[in-house]
Amino acid sequence: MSTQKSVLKEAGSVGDNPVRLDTEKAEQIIEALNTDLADAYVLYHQLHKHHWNVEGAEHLRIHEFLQEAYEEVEEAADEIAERLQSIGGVPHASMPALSEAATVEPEDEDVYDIRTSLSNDLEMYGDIIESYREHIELAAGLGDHATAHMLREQLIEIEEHAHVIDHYLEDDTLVQ
Amino acid sequence: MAAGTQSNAESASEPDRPDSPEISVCKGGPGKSVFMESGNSDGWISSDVTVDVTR
Repeated sequence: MSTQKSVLKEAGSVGDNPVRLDTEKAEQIIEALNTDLADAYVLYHQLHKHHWNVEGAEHLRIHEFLQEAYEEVEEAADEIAERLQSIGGVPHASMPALSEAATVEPEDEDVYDIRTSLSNDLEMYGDIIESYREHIELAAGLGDHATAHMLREQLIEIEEHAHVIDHYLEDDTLVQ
Repeated sequence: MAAGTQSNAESASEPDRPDSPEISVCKGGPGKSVFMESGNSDGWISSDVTVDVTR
């Protein structure tokens, strides 16, 4: 639904930027960042789902951890969207656009035990980590060092959360 | 593995010429590969189509 008569900036377009990044280079980086943005929101919703549904002896700590994790993911998504907008892009903002651009596969709507749920989360974290590494190389290679720096900092947080989930999945646990 | 998923310095350089450019490839958006020359941010090209090379 369009709520205004004149479009200020068309979705998918790339405009000039004030940081003197070549528009053609910016276009490559914007496309990569929109993918990261879409993947982040898929992960955000999956973590949120597990935060809502976790049960069992360890539910409280895992419930709290998952909230911390999806809040970090949302914060990272916000930074990504602002960065790609600042270099001339239009961040994906609708659910259909985000869903179409995402490269990670979300869990279905059914509720699974927490071990299965966290395994699915860890799988998605792994895919996103690999994608970040590619996009850090891309941004740095095209001379966009600020984007590369932002992604590097986010990657540290993402890997920390993947590490915690990996520990939750060890054998020494109350949940069977 | 598809060419767009790994760095590859061999494909575009001759091994016996140390001054030849080193090329790496990164995934950009979905299905897009960006080939970049090491140390030269202006030396790049992107492609929507990549194929595996056989010798």
